Amino acid sequence: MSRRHRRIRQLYTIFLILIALFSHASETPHVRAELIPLTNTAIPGEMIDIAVVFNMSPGWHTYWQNPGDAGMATSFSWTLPEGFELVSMREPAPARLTEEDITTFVHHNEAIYLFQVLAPSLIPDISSFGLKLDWLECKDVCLPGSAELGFTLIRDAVVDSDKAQLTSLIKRAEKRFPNITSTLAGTARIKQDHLELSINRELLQTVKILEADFFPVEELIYDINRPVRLKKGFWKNSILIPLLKGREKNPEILEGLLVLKLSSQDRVKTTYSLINQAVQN
Amino acid sequence: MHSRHITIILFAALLLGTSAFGVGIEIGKPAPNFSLEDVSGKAHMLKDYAGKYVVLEWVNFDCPFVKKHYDSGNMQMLQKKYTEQDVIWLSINSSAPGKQGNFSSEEIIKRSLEYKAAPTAYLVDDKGRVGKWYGAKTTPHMFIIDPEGNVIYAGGIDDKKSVNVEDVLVSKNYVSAALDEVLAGKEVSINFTKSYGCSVKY
Repeated sequence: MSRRHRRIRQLYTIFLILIALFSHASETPHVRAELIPLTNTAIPGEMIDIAVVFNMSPGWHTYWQNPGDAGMATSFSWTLPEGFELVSMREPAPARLTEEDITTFVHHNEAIYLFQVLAPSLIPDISSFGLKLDWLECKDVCLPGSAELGFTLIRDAVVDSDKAQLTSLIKRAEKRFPNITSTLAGTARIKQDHLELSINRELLQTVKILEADFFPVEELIYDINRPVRLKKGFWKNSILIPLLKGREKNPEILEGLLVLKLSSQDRVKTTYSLINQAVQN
Repeated sequence: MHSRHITIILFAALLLGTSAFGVGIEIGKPAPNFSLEDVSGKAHMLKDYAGKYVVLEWVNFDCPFVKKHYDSGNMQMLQKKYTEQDVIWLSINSSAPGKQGNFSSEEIIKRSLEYKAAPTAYLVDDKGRVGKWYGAKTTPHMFIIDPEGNVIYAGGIDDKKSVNVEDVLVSKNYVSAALDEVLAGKEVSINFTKSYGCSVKY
């Protein structure tokens, strides 16, 4: 056996031991959390894509980054190999849940998060990644959930993966991810008890807005219990986002998720756009 | 449990309209009066406590966020510390019958004893009227009322939105800070925060 083959066997053995030590998935009675590396090798200077998938039992939910009136945002605490850097996280668009005047922003059924980690220019033969998850799962009762998951990657390894399964996963994730840049929004202005966000005229030449909703990132600024409304004018269409009475300050930046139900040539589609723009007071 | 007679006294034609916290609740404005029974059937009216600081604590012993504060002994410590300084502390449960946190009188007494809870009274609001009126969204959700009957604090118990008992030691407790300030004759510096916890099970 050549030196190279011995080295590969050694690495493979270590890899199997590490696989045994790390768990990819964890299950509570109502939520299964799974950590899935979408990249099966670590290449110096390249991005590693990682999915975290939550599957909830029917009727159960976890919470968005701003949980709303109650609940708790899911938290992700990474332990990365030296030199690796967490670059981005994408979270699916939430659903609005209102019960007895309490509005929360939640994920039902399946929530797929995507993370990108940048590998340094020098990496070891084996890189181990750890993730501590904390979430709150609720239906008619709430239960805390947590998991410690991990995986390992071997530098320059060629590992077979189930491409069809990964493609399906990414496709499902992309369906619920907001666009990072939006060309929808025009100016944002404070008008008494609401914030008026105008919609770019170019958009309205081809589509009609049927419904709008807004999920703010910032807490205690917006009144999430009053509905977001559409104001249709001859020259422009606007979205009226209710502001909280008694708020300590007006928003300087409008930051959140804008959801629009649009119709165009008898087709209806929903768009999710992350908004982050200055507010004119 | 005795049938619970709940009377809500509306001083509050004055207070109509929505606010940050629910119908009628605004910092610096009068707190709506109410009457709720404790587990022994004794009625407690807010106005009976005029002239004293009153803390309202929305509670559900089965909520993990409430458990964090009771398992750590934090809530009981606050109850004991401030009732010893003549503050009235009312724990209010607004869970509807059949929902999480709605217990029989015997169960409430048992759990309160187990926890060595030390509020002035544990009040039952199983129709949720007082909770909704105050805009209580979570358990815990805390309100402080001054001796003149005005709301001087509304919001979370502290700044660590977690269920971890260890976080109690490293969190900034807003209720304790506000009570210490007013008892020392100062203004409340942080009078409105975001409450966190389970939704109230109306």
